[in-house]
Amino acid sequence: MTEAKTEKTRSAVAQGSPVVQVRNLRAGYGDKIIIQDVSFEVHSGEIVCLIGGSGCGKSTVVRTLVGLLTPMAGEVRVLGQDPHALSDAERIQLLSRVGMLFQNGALLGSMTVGDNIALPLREHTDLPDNVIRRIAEAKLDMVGLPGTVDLLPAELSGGMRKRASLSRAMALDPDLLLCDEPSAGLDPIVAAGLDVTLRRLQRQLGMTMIVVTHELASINLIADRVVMLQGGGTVLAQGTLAAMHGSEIPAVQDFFARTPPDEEHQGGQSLLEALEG
Amino acid sequence: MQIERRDEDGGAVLTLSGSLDAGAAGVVLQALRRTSKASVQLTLDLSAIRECDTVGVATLAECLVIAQDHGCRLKAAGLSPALRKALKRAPAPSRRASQGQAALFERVGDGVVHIFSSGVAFAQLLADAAYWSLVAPLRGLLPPPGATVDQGLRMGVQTFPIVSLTAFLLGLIVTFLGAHQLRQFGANIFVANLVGVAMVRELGPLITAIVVAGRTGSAITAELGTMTVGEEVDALRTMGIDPIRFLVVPRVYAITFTQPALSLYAMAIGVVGGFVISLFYLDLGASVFFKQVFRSLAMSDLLQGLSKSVVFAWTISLTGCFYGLRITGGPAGVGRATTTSVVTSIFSIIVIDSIFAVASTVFAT
Repeated sequence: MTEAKTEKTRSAVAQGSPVVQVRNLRAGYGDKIIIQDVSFEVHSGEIVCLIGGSGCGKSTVVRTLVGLLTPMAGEVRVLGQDPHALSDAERIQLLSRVGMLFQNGALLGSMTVGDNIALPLREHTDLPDNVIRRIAEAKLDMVGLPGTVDLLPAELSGGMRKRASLSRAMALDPDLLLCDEPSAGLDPIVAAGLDVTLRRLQRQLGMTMIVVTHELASINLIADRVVMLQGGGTVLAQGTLAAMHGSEIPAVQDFFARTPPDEEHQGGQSLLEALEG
Repeated sequence: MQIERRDEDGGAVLTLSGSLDAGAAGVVLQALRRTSKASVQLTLDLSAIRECDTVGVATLAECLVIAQDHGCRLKAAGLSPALRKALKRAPAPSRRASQGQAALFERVGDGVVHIFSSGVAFAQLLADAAYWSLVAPLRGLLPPPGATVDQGLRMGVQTFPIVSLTAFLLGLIVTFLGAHQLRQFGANIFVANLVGVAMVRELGPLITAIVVAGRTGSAITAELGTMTVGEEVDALRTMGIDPIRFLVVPRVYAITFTQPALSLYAMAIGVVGGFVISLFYLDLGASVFFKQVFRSLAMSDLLQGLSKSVVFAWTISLTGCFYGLRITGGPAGVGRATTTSVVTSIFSIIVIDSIFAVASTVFAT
């Protein structure tokens, strides 16, 4: 199954089409435009980290990719297709090849971990229940959570919940995995463990990944390429990890060097000046 | 905090002595308001200030704004080095933008737009729910197995005790009120008619609906709202599962069965409550009472009561789902939405009840 999937994505590359294409994307919520003009591509088998300050639109980009948000302008193509131009049945087909890991896991709290993983399997396949259970157990083993298949999400720690969500995202062996801030809220050791797991799975299964993050440690560990968004909702810089480290753009340098903003020089008058005239 | 005022040529001088902190802020601002109204130039002598914390700095900024508002020039004098440092770090206050409430017409307009767009969204939910409950199953797209039964059991368990008690008491109260009047005419027996028709046609379905709206309607909104806040609903969408089919349809199916059943039960229990009063207050025996009840009821009464309960059921479940899925504002939003959902449900129930009452009079054959 793994080889067949890798073949499929390789053939997509052989045809010259990237796994994800974003062109001049413009999106927002209601009247608020978050992303003005974003363009980038993701090629098969690579891990791209989508980075930028808070509010730059990283999560918004990911939401347009999975069809949760309709773009206002521009084009989005996932696995060669535009999720917003498809019929319902076709979109469901496409989404079965994409897995998404939400920031807080987003496991359904009323179902066990095993039932959570079984959800996409029951929806998109005709497999009998005992086979589905075995697949769920295998997926949990893959992410380092053996024996948790009958636990409720509330009985897991934060890190374990993320791993369980990861195994749900991978239930159908997706070609593309999207992760929204996977390390958020995790202590450094658990976060590093999750990064290592992501990297290992990506190598073993040949998945393409887009990881939204602003944790430098994660970026340095897993990124093949980096796309950096900036405040106005445009792409500030993109390139390989090495290229970003060597970038001459000040904002990029500050990001990777973790330079704190200048506290001293605040523009405008001080209260002292106002009181002394 | 001691404040002394003296007048010098050109303006007033306020000498502040003591600690400029939260305890002193009130008196300082009051003094400043009074003085700046009456003067064109005001100097604050701060040489006797022992301590000044962040509240003190904020108070000084506010003094500047008040003085500006009154057209008075404010200056500070006698600043210690520590105070100078603190004031240098703080930004000068910007002119306070007028915080008047939006004009009445603007607010009315906003309200109308809001109601209209909510109405549109509710109509959309109604259409989606109708599709996924009625049309989709014919194409083999069903809600998850067991979900409907699970919801139904929970609804029944949640509301059964409360409905029992309230319906019984309501029957009791109605009968007691009626009995008191009918006794005067020696028409005791007609108390059975009263409670029978009242419970079956109106009060049984109504009290059940209100209880269910409060208990189950709020539970639906809270459950779906918590799921929305935790991105679980988005997760369903990304897995290609329609949230309406997965979450809303089982609840609508379940309540379509439990509501009429509960209403029927409420009608019966209400009549029993009426019987208790008739027995002890009017000396009406069981067989006399219940025979009269059945004599006074027509099939149309029962049908009306039950059809009302089905419409109530859909109102409660769809309103609950609507507010749950539209939550914004995180966990606090869940509380707000739950309250709004219950209030809207109960209001809608009463409106629908009135429509039924009018319609049954108009169409009475």
